[in-house]
Amino acid sequence: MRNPTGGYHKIEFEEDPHQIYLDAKQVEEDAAQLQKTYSLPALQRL
Amino acid sequence: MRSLLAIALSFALLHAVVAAPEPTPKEEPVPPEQKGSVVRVNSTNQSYDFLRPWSKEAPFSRRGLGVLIDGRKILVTAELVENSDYIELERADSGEKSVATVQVIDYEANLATLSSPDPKFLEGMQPLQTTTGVKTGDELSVLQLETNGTPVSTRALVTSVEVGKYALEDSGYLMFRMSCPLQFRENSFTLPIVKENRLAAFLMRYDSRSQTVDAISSPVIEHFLVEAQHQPYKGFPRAGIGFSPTRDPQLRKYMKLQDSDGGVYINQVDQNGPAAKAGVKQGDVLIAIGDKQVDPDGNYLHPIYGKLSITHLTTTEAYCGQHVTMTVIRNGERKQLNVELFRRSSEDYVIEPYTIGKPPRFYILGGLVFQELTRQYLREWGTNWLKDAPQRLVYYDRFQSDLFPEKRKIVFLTQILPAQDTVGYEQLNNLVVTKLNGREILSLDDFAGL
Repeated sequence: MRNPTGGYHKIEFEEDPHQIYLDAKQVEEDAAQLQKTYSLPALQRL
Repeated sequence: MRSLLAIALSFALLHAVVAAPEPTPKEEPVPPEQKGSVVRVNSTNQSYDFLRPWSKEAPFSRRGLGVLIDGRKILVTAELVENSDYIELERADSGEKSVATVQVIDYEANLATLSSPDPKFLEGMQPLQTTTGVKTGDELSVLQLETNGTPVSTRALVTSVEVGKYALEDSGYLMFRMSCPLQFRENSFTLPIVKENRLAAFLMRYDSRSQTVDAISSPVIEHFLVEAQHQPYKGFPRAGIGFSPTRDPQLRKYMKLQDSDGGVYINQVDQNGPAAKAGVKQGDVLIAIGDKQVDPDGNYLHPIYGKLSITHLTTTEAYCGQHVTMTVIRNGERKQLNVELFRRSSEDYVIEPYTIGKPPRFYILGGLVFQELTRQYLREWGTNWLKDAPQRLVYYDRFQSDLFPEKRKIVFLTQILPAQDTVGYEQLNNLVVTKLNGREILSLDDFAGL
C-alpha cells in the first residue's frame, strides 16, 4: 500500500458511499489481530 | 359396495403393472477389443471458495471412466478432474490402482488427458482410436463397468447432431444428443461411447427422466487430441463475434440483402478477438465463411451432419493460427476479410470467464476484502446467477468487451470483515473501486502498490 494521504488511505468507489477513509497506522497495527480473529492464512494473495 | 369397487380397482392396477413391465435397458456384453480400453478414474476435487477467497470448499469425489487413447494417455472429461487434489486410476480387470496427474486440460471443450507415473500400469491395455463417422440415426454403445469390473454396454440412438453448450456458459461445440436407457452404476460421472470399436463420444450429461444423453462429439475429441500433442496447448479458436438471424424482411430490406444472400447480422464483436482484428464490424452481415454459405439462421450445410451452426466452422474445424475468409455485406457492399483465428485465454479477459484450478486473488485491508471480478465469483450465486448475482457486476461481465476495450481488471470490495477499522461500514459489499489514494485502480496489483 502506497502513499496514504495525511495518514489515511482514501478508497473511492463508483457507488455510495463513494469514498472510505482508513487510518493507515491503525490498519497496520490491527492486521495481525484481524488475521487471528478470522483465521486468515494470509491478508493477500496476488 | 365401495370396498368391492376398491378391490376391483386394485386388481385392474395390478394387471396393468404386470401387463406393462418396466422396459429393460438394451445392455450387451462388451466386445473383447473394448474390454481393455477403459479404466476407472476416481478424483477427489476441492474448488476454491470465491466468497471466502482465502479458503477452499469441502472436498468431494467424482468417479467416472477414462479411455486409453494411446500407449500412455487416458482421456476423460475436464469436469471429472477439475480442481482435483488427488486422482487415482483403477484397472477394470485386476483392480490395480495408480495415482494419475493431469497432462492437458481444456475447460472450454471439457476434455483432459491423464498420465500415470508408473509406465507398467497401463501395459496390456488396448488403446481406442476415434471415429468421426457418426450421424443422426446411428446406434452407439455407452460403456460402463459393473462393480466387479465386468464391462457392459448400453445401446444409444443418436437423435441429433448440433452445436450446444458444454460445461461453461459460453462454450458451444459440436454435440451428439442420444436416446439411451442407462442404468445407474458407480463411476458413471463420465462414460465413453463407442461405434464399431472406436471412440465416438464422451458422455457429458444424462437426464434419467427423458433418458437423453448429451455427449462430447468425436470431432471435438480429435481436435483436442491434435492440439494436446503440442506445447503450449493452444486450445480451440473463436472468431469473437455474436450474431442474430436476418429472417425479418424489413431488416433484410434495410440491410440491402438479396434473398439469395442468406447471412446473419453481427450484433457483437469482441474488441480484442480475431474478427475485430481483421476488420469485422458490428452491423455487418456475414454471408459466407470460406466457401460455406451462411443461411439467415447462422447455419451452413455440413457434408455429414447437414445444417450446422457456423460456430463449428470457426471453433472445431479450424485450428488456432489458421486463416478463414469472412465475406460480409457492409452498407450494401460485399467485403472479404481475412481472419486469423486464435483463442483468447481466460486471463486475457477483463472479467475472466472461468477461474478453475487456480486460487482467486484477494487483498484484505483493515477488514475490507478486495478481489478482481471474475465470472467464477458471480457463479457463487448458483445456476441462476445471471438473475441473482449483483446486477451491476453481471452487467459489467456481459458487456465487458464494449465497456472496457483496454486491458484491465475490475477491482471491487466484496465484503467487510467486522473489525475496529470498519465500524459503520459492515453492510457494504460488491462496490467497484475506482481510485486508491488518488491513483486509478486497474488491477489488484495497482491496489497493492506493486
